[in-house]
Amino acid sequence: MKEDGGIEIDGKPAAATVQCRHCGGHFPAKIIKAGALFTAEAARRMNSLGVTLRGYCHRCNGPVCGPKCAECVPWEQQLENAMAGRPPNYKPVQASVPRVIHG
Amino acid sequence: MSCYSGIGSATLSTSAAVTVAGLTGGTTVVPRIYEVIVSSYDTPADQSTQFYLQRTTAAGTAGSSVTPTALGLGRAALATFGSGTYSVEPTYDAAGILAQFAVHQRNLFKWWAFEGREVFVPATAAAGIGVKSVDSTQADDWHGTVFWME
Repeated sequence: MKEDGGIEIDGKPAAATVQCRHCGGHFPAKIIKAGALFTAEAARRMNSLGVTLRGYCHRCNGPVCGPKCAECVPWEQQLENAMAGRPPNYKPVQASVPRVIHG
Repeated sequence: MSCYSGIGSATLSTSAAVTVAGLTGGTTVVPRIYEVIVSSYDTPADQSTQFYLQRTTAAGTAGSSVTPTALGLGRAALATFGSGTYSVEPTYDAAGILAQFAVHQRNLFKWWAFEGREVFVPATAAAGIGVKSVDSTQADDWHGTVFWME
């Protein structure tokens, strides 16, 4: 996973960070154990027990920081919501209209 | 885009959260923080502190208002910067923790972001980001330096 930032301690690189594609927060990048997939509900339960779980959003094509960002609201949309005074998880209705083919 | 820095300092507490540095934007600016440095200037000791980089919705009352330093030849910053010790802590967004890190008192800690991956402050009145100690094993004196662009 491509890193989005880094951490240095006393001038020496200590860790890479990645940015949550929903809230914009940074967290240390860690190797993901193969087969470690959980549903959002299971992730929330484990999080409430103190287990730190990260995720991946396939719509935003990037990492998310945890169950609190499970709902896909990209950070650009969250920024716009904050500036417009909308709820943080507001998303505009998106609809696609098939192309009309004239016979 | 111009780059700026601000240095805050505060004496931490072992029983309460203390803001070391606070950046507050406004409706005409979207500050983007790309680097944060925290270090203690107290007598070296084997102690540690947990810091949050967290969104604020009200600036609180800072111990002192710091004029941001322009890192280039740009204009004066539109965002404002406050240093501890706050008489009224900023109002923090509980869901807005952007980063958390535990730092040993003897270390200098730096977090930085690549271009395009900064943490943004929305262009909303009184919105900001604070560098806050949430838990400290000793009430030491700490600096917090924030670099941002706007």
